[in-house]
Amino acid sequence: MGKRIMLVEDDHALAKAIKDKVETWGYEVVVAKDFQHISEEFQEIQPLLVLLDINLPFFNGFYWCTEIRKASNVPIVFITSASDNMNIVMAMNMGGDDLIAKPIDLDVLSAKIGAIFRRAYNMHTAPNVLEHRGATLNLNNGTLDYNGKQIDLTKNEFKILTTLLEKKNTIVSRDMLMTKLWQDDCYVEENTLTVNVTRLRKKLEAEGLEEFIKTKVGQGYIIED
Amino acid sequence: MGIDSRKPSTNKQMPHSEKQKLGTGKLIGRYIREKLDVLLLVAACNIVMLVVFFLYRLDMAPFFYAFLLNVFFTFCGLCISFFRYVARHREREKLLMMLENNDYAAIDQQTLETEDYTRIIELLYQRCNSLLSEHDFLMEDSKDYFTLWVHQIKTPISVLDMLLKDDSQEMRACRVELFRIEQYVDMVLNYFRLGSNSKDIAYKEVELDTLIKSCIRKYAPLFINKKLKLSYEPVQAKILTDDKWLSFIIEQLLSNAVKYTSDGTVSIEVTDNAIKISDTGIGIRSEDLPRIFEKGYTGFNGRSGSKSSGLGLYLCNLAAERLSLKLSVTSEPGKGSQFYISGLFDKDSGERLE
Repeated sequence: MGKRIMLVEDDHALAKAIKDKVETWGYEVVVAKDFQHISEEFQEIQPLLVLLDINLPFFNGFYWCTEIRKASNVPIVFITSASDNMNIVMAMNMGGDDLIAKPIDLDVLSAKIGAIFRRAYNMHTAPNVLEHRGATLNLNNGTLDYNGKQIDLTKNEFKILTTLLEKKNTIVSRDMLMTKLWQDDCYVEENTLTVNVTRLRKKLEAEGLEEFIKTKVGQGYIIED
Repeated sequence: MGIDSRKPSTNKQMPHSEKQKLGTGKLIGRYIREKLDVLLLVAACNIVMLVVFFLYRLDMAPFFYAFLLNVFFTFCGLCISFFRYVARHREREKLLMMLENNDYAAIDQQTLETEDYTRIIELLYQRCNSLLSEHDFLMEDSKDYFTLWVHQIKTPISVLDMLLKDDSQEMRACRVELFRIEQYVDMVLNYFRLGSNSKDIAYKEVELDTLIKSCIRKYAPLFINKKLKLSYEPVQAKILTDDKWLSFIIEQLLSNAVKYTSDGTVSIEVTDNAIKISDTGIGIRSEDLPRIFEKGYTGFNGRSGSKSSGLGLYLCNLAAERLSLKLSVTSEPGKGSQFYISGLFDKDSGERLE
């Protein structure tokens, strides 16, 4: 069963951008076309999740939510603008399951979609592990397994390794790594990052994983095949 | 140099009704002056009688008797007239006070003069009211338009945000600029929300740590881009506040800290009675210090390149007032500045849990 999401957003550019991003996470995204007959389109598409913008032509998101709810309990996530002055309690009272505000934070959107699929359909987002050269990074318990041995990583080291592996074969800038760490409330500075990467490399080398992380001078780090 | 655009001082002049309060003595004086023509007429009539009687060699005794009666009745008449004069004056004073409170009720018409003036007053009063209504309507209209505008512009900002997710240096530079655009857009929304008297405050219990951390996360890219350090020790504290407005204040202060610090550290510290946000930036001159919360005040900020709107701290102060908090600042030019948000832990608003 494909993980199909219906996106009801009338702004073409935004709809395309969202579709492109969400599809890279392994979902199938269908963008609604007829804003006068959304509930009919919903019946045709049969999605597992609906991303529903509030401000639409003809009828607004709340109206379509009510319409869809007449026949289905499918999870609905509202997309709101900050000036809508809406909060999650209102969203739920209106029949929705969650809401996300513009401008859309992709990390948050990814987490919300993942959570809904897990809750509603017991589906886990792929994958729970990241792998490279025989070493498996377990995203659930933050450990690195290699050759039957478990390597413990600090929170920062884990975050750095996860980011590099998620973007395998692309250069990840130091700024990007630092931003990821700050999002975890670790306010590292330039030196700290260098120290963390060095320590991580030492740990990997100690287990025989030489040159796991390569440095691209002036650009960042990379894990490549 | 500083641009001073303080709002015009609220009119603390004496209300019109106080300006011309006349005591009884003065009233009598004025009445007599006004009635001088009547008095002169009566006097003239009496003199005519006196002269005619005299020239006709008539007996003066009846004349003097008549003269005394004249004086007596004139005096009585003038007294009655005087009391009516004073009463009408007091009525008009009441009307003046009513108009000062934007209220109006017609007074008794007695003379053609009063009628005419009443019609003029009524016309002016109506004009005034319709201008006020028109003004209110235009303000609401303006606010509605800008709310719609903010709403509309969030969409292309959102699109750009997603399209610029690549990790190259140009993309990162673009994202920083996009963030700045977003900040200005949010500023517009908050300007209107704080300007109107809308009661959009919702107090609830908030974990201060969570709130501060989410503000930091939002501004992380700016810190990293400028290679500034951040120091913050998590705290355990629950407070009663509106998280939206408190976030706005903290974010604005963080934004300023980053803007005016070229290198060093920005620290956030939660003390017994305040949140302290300090930086190692260029600081604020002592002459500018008492005025930085004024609307439109930019002061000397060493940034000859970009123009500051002078609104950030002004809006912060408004928001703080709305939350019954107080903003204060100390600074040393060249060393750094320290901003304090105090009043969070007052008896009614919150408790610190250690």
